[in-house]
Amino acid sequence: MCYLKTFDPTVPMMYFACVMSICVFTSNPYLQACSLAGGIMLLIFVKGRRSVRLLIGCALIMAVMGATNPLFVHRGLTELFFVGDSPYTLEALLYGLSLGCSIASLLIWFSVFNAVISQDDILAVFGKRLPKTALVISMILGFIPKLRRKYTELLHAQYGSGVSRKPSLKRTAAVFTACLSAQSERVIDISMSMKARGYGLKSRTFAHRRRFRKKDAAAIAVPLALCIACFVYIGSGKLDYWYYPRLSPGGFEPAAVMCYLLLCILPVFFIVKEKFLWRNCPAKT
Amino acid sequence: MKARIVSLCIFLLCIPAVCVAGVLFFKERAVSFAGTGIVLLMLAGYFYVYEKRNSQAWELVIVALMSAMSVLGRIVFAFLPSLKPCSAIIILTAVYFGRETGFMVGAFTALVSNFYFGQGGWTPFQMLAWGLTGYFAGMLGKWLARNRVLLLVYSAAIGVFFSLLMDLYTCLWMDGKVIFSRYLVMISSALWVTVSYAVSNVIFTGIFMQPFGRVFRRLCIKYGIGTYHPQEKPSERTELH
Repeated sequence: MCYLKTFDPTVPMMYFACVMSICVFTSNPYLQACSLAGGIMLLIFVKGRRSVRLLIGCALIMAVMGATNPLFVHRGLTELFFVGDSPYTLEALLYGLSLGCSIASLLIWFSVFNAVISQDDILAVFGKRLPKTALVISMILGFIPKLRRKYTELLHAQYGSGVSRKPSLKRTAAVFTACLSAQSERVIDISMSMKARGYGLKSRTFAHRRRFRKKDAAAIAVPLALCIACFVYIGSGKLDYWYYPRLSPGGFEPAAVMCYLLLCILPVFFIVKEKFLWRNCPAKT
Repeated sequence: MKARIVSLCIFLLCIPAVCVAGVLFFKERAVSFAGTGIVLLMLAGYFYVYEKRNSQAWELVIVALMSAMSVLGRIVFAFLPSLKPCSAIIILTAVYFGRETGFMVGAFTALVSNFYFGQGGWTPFQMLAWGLTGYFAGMLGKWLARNRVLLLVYSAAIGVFFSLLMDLYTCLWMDGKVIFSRYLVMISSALWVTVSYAVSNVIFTGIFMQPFGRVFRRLCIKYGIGTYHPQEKPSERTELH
């Protein structure tokens, strides 16, 4: 995944927004297959063997959704068999599978998102646009380890005074509250210090560690263009697909599906390229 | 003023636009697209107003501290199955520091605790649900601070509300629209979760009510922050500037 980290963090975030805005909401099976294939490929590249559990879970979700949807929905003309009085239809089964597919692709893409984008990246992207929010988030992320340390300290003090080591609601609550009362005044101190050092003044500036380069702009432009092309096709109605009462015959537009497939497997190009360069171009001495 | 106009625009123009776009582009899944879009836009509007507002330094710091506390609570109380103190902490903070602080504590708790427990499509819904938990508690703060029974009843009710909202989210994702019978099945199958939310809210609000109240009242008396209890504040109250 470090191969994707050579870009400004805006690039992968924009990319994920492009992919997920389509794959999660579309009901076109071709687009869903594309996103699922791209997502699984990327997940395996990024996480390797650790992705197996998620993939099994997704397969289970799809199977369960597909099997149970016809029990709730009785539309569709191709009856497979009857459950009680109500028909169990092929169309509803496939529609359930497609719903399961969109949930699975959501999970898979978010898993890739979590692996590629760290907290620092999120702060780097939003720090300039939403300074107050970013400030609060970074304060929270700073407080959590401090509070944990304080909590452990207080807990060990309790152990020292001979309290039983078995966790109980009462003891945990007592230590937790002690933690709050210890930290709350220290925290007000921080706010006074912020005030003293000019918080809220207009002349404050924001230092940015990274620079947005031409390479990043190019890397944003490509997925954005592909995404817009897909949306244009979707809007034009060429990708409309319906399950009820019969499966629609059309809905397959080669150009649009190619666009979306390309969008979904775009990062794989970068990964393969970087791996190739790493293996085959030894440093010139 | 400008911030208000922009947020009004978000509510009046963008939300219908999202609905229309959902119907136009994703016919079958229009409701789930529109639902997610609306939740995201509501959060965006609220955060925009928050960014533009002049808030005191202590407000930010208290929001950060209490969000960190509720994330910590989620970690240290993990040994109790399905009991989480987050809502209780959000409610108590909102009661003593007002509705905007409450909303932000709820939203940030959801956002940051998902850094640890995994982000997903549920994050915005959770942010909104916990944010509203805090917002309503802050709105009713005057009465909730005075009446303990009311506070416990409120925390039980908001637990049920939270669970119903999250069920709605699950339903939106599973069906692409709200099929009422499926929603009912979902609610009844998640009944145990709903009950556990309500019970854990009541338990934790009951436990934390007095100690947290003491700490917050002390902050109020010592530094003059928060919205709590005029009769306990010193008469010549000085603002923290």
